[in-house]
Amino acid sequence: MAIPKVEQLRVNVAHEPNMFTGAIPKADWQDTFTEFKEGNFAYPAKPEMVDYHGFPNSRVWSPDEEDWKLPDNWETIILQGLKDRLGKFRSLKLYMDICVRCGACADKCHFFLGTGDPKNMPVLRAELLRSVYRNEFSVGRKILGKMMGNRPMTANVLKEWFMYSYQCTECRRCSVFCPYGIDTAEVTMMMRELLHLVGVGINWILEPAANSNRTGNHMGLQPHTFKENISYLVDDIKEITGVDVHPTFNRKGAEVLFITPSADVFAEPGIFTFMGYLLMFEHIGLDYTLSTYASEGGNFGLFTNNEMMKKLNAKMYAEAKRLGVKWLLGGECGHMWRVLHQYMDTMNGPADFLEVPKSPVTGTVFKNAASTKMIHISEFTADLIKHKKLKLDPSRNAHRVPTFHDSCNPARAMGLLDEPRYILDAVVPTWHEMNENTIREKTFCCGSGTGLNTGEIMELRMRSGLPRANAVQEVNEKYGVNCLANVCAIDRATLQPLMEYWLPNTSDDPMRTTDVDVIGLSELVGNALVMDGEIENREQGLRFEELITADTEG
Amino acid sequence: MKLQELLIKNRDSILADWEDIVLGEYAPETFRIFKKQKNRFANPIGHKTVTGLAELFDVLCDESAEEVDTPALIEMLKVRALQPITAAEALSFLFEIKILVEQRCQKQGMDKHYKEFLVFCARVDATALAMFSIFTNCRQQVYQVRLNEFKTGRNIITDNAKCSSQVVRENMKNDE
Ligand code: SF4
Ligand code: SF4
Repeated sequence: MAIPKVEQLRVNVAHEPNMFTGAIPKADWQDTFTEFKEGNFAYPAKPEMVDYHGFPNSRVWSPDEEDWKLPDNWETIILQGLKDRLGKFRSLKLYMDICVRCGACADKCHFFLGTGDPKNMPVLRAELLRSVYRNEFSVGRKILGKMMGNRPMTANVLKEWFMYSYQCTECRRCSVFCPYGIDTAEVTMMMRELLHLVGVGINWILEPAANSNRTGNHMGLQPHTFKENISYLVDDIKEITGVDVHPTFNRKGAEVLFITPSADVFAEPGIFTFMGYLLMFEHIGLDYTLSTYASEGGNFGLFTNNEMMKKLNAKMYAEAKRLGVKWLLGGECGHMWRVLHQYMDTMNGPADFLEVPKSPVTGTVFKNAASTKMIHISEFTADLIKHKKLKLDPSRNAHRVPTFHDSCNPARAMGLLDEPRYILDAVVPTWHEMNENTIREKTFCCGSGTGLNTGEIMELRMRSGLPRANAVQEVNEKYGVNCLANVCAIDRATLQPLMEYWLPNTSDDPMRTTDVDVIGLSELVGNALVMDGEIENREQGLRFEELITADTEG
Repeated sequence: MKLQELLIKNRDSILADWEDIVLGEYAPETFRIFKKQKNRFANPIGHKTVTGLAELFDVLCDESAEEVDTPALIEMLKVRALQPITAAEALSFLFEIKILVEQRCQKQGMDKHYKEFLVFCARVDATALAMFSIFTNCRQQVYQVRLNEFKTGRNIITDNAKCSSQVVRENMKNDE
């Protein structure tokens, strides 16, 4: 590499903006070119995954190669696909027509704020599709043409769709600020669907979806492995608390079927959340069962296409029917709740063969789930706490000073805002909110949702997670917040590396990787529960960490 | 007036220009937003850049200051360490300060400050080395984060959707 001359550097810096985007400065966004480089794209789907789903055009290809090996008539396929969807989804047609380009959404996206790439402004992201829509389908297309920003469907446009529909986590933060309620997430979904029609998709979505379809969960775990992993957690609980918990599997006639993301059964820190569930169910003597077939709460169909989403969602209900349970209880998952609240009813509902969920402990009937028959663990837990049915000792969480990250889907797609906070009040001595601009409906995404939680784009994830991490940094500095509570499995997997980068370990403990641990809400609940028959003066938390008790404190 | 005084007196105007240069690396649409929005939560990159530059400027001006790695500058470099640019591109903004200061000196009649200016430039160069270390630390942190994924087993939910039995099966196949 040549020694850069100061003068050259100056030229570089001052006169060639857009180094960050690879685009030509001051040129119209339509004329800029999308450049794929290792690290800025998620790996394409393997041919066997594409075949498994029966999607077309399976082949080995890579986005950083010039030729994407598209079918000969790919333009026709895309345009026909768009036409079909415009007819099928009124919302899409509306979103294509009504944007006034007011720009209110422009600076609300974490991808834009973290990358500075203008095409990550929601308005421009949608414009990538809209420009083609206008060119092909809208009325004044012939008259105003390019002046209106219309453009034909070209390979470059397609490549742009791929780049930017996979730099959107479908979090819907932008829609909160749009005066017309335009949901750019749905535009992203459509772009991804259309891309699948010509065999353009990413592996990290299609493989988990295939696994889920085949074995029941994203990891492709077979029933015995699933069961075995949970038995390890049961052993850990015994060792830490001295209590035996009794999960059952595929038990017909149980009152409740409990479904959670499979990541909670496998990887840290989700497994500690799972231990929390097990302890609470034992505590209240819930008549529940787990299924080794419907062993996944997540639904990567949501990130693929509407048919796949329907199919994966239907599996939970088929299993509920087979087992003859009365209702469904769902664990701490993000997008599962979006599917459930926004799409389940029209896709697979109403689930008339089930009963409206009724807490066997408090008698509360959850009328909000009258049609889906499925409630969120936080709704269930908050109700138990309200009726004083849990024996809790918040001081067991004295070593934790949490803040709460609202996961996009539970917060924005189902309005689960107050229940988790109500639970936190009861299970920890103290916790702190992040800045109001970054929580509740306005929460910032973890930056890795919708199947973007894959390792090859780690740096991109660190960028898109910046707005979230930035708010955590503030409460860490101000209040000494040392843990980030949440109710989503993808958060648990992805906020951890985000914290490791933006809030690295400053303590003397070499085992720690960050100053802010990521923790599922139910872990905090489980850790605070005073169980019948537990060992006296319990000394360890669910992660085998040392507890600060009244004794050790003095 | 000594150079030191000139720097202090022109602090705001120099910083404003410096911000324009650094934020001007982004596309024009982005620049407008990153420059205008002052709320740190609504504009983290803008905020980290502006505060980072201010701290860096103060370190450059204060001859007694020995530590370059001030908190806000580290944050600013952390942002840049994630951008898809080379190390040289990420750090070249530092040398802009020489030009900005030189412009102010010119206005005052450069001759008077010439020697002091050379000393200042040497300080900028030394700072560049320190900043390069900070930058490489940030890069290293990215790799560390990747490594942690594998150490904790989190990679099974962020890298490859494979169960252990599948891995075993594949290994057996490979052995055959
Ligand atoms: S849905 Fe979220 S990620 Fe997608 S454009 Fe809107 S704010 Fe950005
Ligand atoms: S806020 Fe709504 S109407 Fe305004 S530019 Fe964004 S999507 Fe269009």
